[in-house]
Amino acid sequence: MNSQVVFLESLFLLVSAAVAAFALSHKSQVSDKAMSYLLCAIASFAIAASFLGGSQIVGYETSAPLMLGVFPLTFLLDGLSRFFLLLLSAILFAIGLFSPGYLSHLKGKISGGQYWIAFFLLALSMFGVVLSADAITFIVMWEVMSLSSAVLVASDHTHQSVQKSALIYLGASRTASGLLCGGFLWMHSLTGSWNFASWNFAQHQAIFPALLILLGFCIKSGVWPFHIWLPYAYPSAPATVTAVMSGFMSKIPIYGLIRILIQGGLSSPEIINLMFVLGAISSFWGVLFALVQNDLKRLLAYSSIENIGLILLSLAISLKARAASLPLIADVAMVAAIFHCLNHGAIKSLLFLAAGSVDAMAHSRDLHRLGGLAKRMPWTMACFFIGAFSICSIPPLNGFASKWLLYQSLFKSTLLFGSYLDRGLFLTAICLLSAVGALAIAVFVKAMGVVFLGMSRSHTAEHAVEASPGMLCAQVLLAACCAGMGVFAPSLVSQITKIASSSTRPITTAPIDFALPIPLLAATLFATALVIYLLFLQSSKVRTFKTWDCGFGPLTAKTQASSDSFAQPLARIFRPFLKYETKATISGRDRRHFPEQINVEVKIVSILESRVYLPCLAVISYLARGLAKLQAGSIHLYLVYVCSTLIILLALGTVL
Amino acid sequence: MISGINLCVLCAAVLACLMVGSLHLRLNLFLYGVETLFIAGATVLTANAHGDASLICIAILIGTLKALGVPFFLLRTSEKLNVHRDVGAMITPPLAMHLSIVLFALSFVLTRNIPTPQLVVNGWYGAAAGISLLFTGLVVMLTRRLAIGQILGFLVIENGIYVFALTQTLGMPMLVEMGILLDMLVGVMVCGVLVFKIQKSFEHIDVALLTNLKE
Repeated sequence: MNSQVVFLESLFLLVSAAVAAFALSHKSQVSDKAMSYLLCAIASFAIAASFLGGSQIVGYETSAPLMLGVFPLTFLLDGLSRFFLLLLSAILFAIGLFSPGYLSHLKGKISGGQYWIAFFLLALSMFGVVLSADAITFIVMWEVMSLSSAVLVASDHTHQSVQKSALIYLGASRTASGLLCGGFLWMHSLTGSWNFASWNFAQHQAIFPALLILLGFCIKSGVWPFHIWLPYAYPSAPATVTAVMSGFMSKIPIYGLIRILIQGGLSSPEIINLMFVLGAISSFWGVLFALVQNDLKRLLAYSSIENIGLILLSLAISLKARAASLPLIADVAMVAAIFHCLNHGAIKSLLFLAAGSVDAMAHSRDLHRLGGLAKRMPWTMACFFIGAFSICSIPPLNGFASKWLLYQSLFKSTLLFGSYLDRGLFLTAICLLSAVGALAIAVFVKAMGVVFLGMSRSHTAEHAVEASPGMLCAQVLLAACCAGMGVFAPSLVSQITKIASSSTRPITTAPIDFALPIPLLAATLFATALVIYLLFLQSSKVRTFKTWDCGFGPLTAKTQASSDSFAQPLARIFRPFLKYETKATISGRDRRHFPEQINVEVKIVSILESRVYLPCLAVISYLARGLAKLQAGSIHLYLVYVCSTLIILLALGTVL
Repeated sequence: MISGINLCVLCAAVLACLMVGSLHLRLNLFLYGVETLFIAGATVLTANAHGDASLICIAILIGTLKALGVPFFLLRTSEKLNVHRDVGAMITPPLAMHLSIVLFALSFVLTRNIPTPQLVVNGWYGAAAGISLLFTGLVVMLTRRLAIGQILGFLVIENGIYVFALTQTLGMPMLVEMGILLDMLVGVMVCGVLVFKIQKSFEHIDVALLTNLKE
């Protein structure tokens, strides 16, 4: 079978599916099941289509009727886009399995027709962005993606908080699109071509368009300091949407960076250093804020910021190594970036789906109202734990493999780079990354412990039941992906290396051997754990006794360690970065010995949001109000505008 | 030496300026009719100069429909609504007339550099008259409060555009001018009906009070 035919057919199928969804959703009652199966079918077709082509590079340009004005839509399917396509299809397949069960819990809250139209448009446009080969196709698909995802974030738009999130998200994505458009137009005026393949960022004039494009991508993927929208949009959207947004949409800007800037030969040291710094700060900032969150989805959202930061950091290392002509390091870092994209995509969509089923079954995402779900939702717990272990990079799961590569590239750079400044930078990055890794473990220990272990903190959590088989299937599938990608990491890495070495442009001649002994490491780790258990833990006898309750009466679920009490000691250490305040008031007659009521209030203030973004927004809205005065509603005033504009234009025509 | 065409259009521009000076609807409509007749005359002279028979046809249409039909229709509307005099807005009529005379002079300055085709003699005057009519129309719309005044101002602007096109090109294609004429007539009819509706809903036809519609 000709791969081009398959490729075309899959595109055609997607378009017709979107149209079908559109046609069906005109009826007020859309069958969630039918739509989900359609999504599954399309996803499996896309998986097949991306596999069948083998390693061929397929290009396609639409002809007359399917054109954007005078521009044809041009698509390109190569190794890089094939990997991303595979990830997208896998996530979509899992979401297709997850949707019927999950959406039945949202009945009455979201409109099925609107949801499915937007979802299919989102899926279609994400395929389009990944496949696009020129700027026009890219930006059109990108816009469809941004807008349809904004509609999806606003699915449950009766809540005021959701409206606010959707607005913030819309604002962020508009800014990103604006910057991208600026960068693309600039590059077009420099090179006279819309095709990414003919854009060369190595020239000196290309530094500003490269900066615009980088900033646009950073905003969309939620890199510090543009991450503000992410903790709002992710919790507000339904879990299925968050899974695809965090799992795949946040990787699209990274894909864009690789496709446009890196394959375009970006070499300006300023931009590379900017990427390095932004990536490092994002990873630290994200994990630090994740630690103090009390909303499960918000916590995962901040963790996404951390991982995007890690990916950006890997890309920056790769570029630095390329500039210093160290192709081996460049390739290792590039592989680390691409591999971490895939890994994080699988892990984060798994975690968000698990969080979604917790939300649907226990009716809360608030960590203060969850707990003790281990007995009631054992399968969900198992899947969540696999995801959490994986994101904490415990071998043999996939998160480990990509972080290993990142560390390898950092260690090698520290040894091989010429300048001491660079060496110091890499050494700092290593220290920072180890702190980030440790904090990530703390974050997920907190999430796992508070949500699943202990006693239920609320009535709803006490009466939670296991999620439906379809929802579990989706999570098990993604968990298996995480495990599989970890175990088969060496062969996956060798596959990605082929792409990476072609992306980084001086192509390495020496074959790369990363020495990734995952089974050995896993076996060692397991054996160590076993030995520790046998030697120390088993010997200690288990005693059953009641905890002393200080004479207050029976202990309740509220006396357990809460998420705040877990995070507080760590948050205190990082007080310079984190404005974290706790206020406890104890009241009662003899409040020292017999308190009647204890109120604890925890407040996290995002300095960036309150000190930088809010004043900026206030200035903009003040200016906008001034502008609105022009629209007075008086015909005479409008006529004065027309008249004066006419005079000014004519006068300009006379003078010029 | 000013040609007949230019004389006609300049007379039309001066008449428009005069129109600004009065608030009486009947006088305004009369002046508008005469002004449009001058423009029809200019069209006939252009037809003679270029030997274009279709322009004669247009001139007849302008003379009958725009110079006679439209003022009579608006006159009938104003009598039905029982309004004979506009209230005036922003600036008083004498001041407005002086303003439009200043704009008349200004339009000569503004149009000095407009490139004209080789065959057009003294295109400058025609262009100035056209732009001046346009400004005068805007001034009429600015200084009238009643909806009929607004329609009148719009008609003057339309005349200005026509004059500009007539004097700057060697005669427009008949089809284009017919289209514009038809548009204008439909516009006036719709406005006439709308004025009735506005009167019915708001019990006045004062556009300055329409700011109430702003949210």
